[in-house]
Amino acid sequence: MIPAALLLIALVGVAVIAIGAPFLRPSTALDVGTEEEQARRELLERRDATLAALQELEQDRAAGRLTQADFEQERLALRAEAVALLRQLDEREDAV
Amino acid sequence: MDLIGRGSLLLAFGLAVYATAAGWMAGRRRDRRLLESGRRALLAAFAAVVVASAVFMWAIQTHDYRFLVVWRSSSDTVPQPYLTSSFWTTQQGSLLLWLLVLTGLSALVTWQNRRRNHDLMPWVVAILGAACAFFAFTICFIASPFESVGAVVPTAGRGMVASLQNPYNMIHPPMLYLGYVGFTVPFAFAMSALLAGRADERWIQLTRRWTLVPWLALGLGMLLGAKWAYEEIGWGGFWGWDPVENAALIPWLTGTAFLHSVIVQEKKGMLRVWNVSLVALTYVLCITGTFFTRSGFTSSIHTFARSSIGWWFVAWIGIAAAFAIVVISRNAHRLKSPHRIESPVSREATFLFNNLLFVALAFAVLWGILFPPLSEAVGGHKIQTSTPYYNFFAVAIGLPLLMLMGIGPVIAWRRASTRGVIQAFRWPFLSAAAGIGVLLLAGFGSSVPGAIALSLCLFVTVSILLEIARGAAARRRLAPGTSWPAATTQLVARNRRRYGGYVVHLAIVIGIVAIVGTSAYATVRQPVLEPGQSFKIGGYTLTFVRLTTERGPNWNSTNALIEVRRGGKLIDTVRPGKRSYTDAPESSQEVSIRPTWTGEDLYIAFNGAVRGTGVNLKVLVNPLVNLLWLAGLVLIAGFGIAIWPDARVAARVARRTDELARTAAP
Repeated sequence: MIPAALLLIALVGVAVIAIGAPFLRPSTALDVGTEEEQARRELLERRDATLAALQELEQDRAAGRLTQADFEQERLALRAEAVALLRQLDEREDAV
Repeated sequence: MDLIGRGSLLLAFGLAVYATAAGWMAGRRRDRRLLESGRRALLAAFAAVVVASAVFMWAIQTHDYRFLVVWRSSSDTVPQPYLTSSFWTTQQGSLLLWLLVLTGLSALVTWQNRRRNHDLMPWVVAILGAACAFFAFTICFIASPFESVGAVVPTAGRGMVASLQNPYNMIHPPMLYLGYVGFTVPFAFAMSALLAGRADERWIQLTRRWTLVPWLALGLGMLLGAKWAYEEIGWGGFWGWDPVENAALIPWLTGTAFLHSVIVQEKKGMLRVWNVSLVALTYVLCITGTFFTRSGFTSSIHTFARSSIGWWFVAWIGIAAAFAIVVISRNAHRLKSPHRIESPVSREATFLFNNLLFVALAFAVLWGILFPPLSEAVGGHKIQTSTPYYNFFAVAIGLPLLMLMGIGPVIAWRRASTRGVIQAFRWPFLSAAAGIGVLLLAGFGSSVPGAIALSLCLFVTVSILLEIARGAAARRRLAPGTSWPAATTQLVARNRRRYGGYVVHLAIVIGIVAIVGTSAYATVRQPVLEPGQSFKIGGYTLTFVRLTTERGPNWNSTNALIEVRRGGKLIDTVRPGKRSYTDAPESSQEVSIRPTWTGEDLYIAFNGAVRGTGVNLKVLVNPLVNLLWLAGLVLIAGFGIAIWPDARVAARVARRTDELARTAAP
């Protein structure tokens, strides 16, 4: 009974030290990014997704999954989207 | 011993509560020290649960009957490895296993993200901490595995339930728990993204593997359960629409819908509200499934004893659902999609239809579970929902879903022209049409839904194989001289997620062929035979020779010695039987299953001796059933391809991080 109690006390002690140790360091703020960084991250993600979609579209055309008309229509739409995203990214970079 | 076990669990509970509070405060105050402390609390909670689990396992292995649960679920004569599996055959032990998996996953997630995603992690720690705290609470205060048997310690255990002494029971429950528990992680990330004001696609990318793993685990858990039922219950089938089987199927269906709809969000930025709602629904349904199993709300061979624990689960389901609704509705403005679905003939629309059908099927099955107890509560007597109810929805919703599985991967994004549709589907369609003709000529028209399902399976298979062949041909055109296998390998390596998904689709098709084979085209007979008598079924002639007896470490069995002939030639001698256990009140079926290379099983169950020397048998010829187990292997292969790290995606993320760092620099 006593060794078990001692072992349990040791477990609690280790846990308390583990969760308490971070408070021995100086307080620092979490790097969560600014709203501007977040907006830029979202634009970059959309840009990458659009460029990947364009690449996939080329593969689909090469594999004969799409008619030429469907390919052209989708490519124009994706390119317009990519251009708009790149423009927004440039504007934000200029503002910085 | 029990002091260490109980103390460790209490410690885990305290640490989980602390992690919840520390994570929440870290999120509100953006304090690094609080996040680090909360993260460590989750790691420490896992360590504490490992200690408690080790103590419980030690008690089982040493037959320590001072613990009520050990006394009730094992005995000195239960052989290994079944003794080890008695860890999770009780309510208390299975909850402990659940907590072990949950704290383990929580520790792993927080460890993986210790240096990144600091905007999301405080909330993730808080939500995972709360989930751990709930389960630790139930184990500490409602269903403790360390409950004492009392002042008088029995010298022998009551034994293990006979039907649980089966190899598949070793792996089936842990696999299901990994599935149920695993969906906590994508739920935590989805809610955290909204709490942090991040409505973009990052949480989906971060949790892609964390969603695939529980989805596979739940699927394999069900498949292993089906194998267990097939071999152990003795009715000749593998899925009985039992409430507990259904409880696992429901979140798997919504999880499958989620895996598809996130593709639309990642590619097109659409369905954002739908995706966070779907992942929250899947988590809530996982807990609801657990509630069905543990509360006594439904009756099933799988359920644990009726207990008061159910109300605590109802409370947790309510809290989780209310939390998700509040978080999603408060962030609805962030979740508005910049795009709309332009045409019903497009890949986006196909994915949406697929999602609606999956969710409809999930709710049809859920209603099938809820209706009997509700009818009893409202009308005074229980109206059961039986197999025809479930089969109706499985066919009515399953067949369109199967068709969409062939359409989705091939149809164009945004808008497909009539010419494009004809070009993409002429060969799959012609194959399906030819397939149904052949099936009707071959006598498969005895089941119309069966014949339609098989022809749709052909449609999907041709559609997928053509996709792969077209892709490989395109690669060969780009690099002349490349062999077909090399081109196919390169194709798959360049888009593992897509082609891994196709392999998973093929696994589902193989599984459906097996389900159709056994449900629509099986032959069943229940003969009563005296020694020397024969009967015929599906091309086999079975001759009952005599009754025999057998003895094992903790069982005695009575068997029927049967000679199996085909075309007049003796091909096998089988011994189906029934075991009585020396340390358990129940008996178990020991069926004889004789597989063939065509996927067919000759299945013989012993239904009892008749008049001392005769035998009552249940015999089935189950065509194609073995394809179901093959489907499991193909599913694992597809999963392996889809989950393998993609260097191109990693490079894209690294480039994006660099760009962000560059522009953020002063």
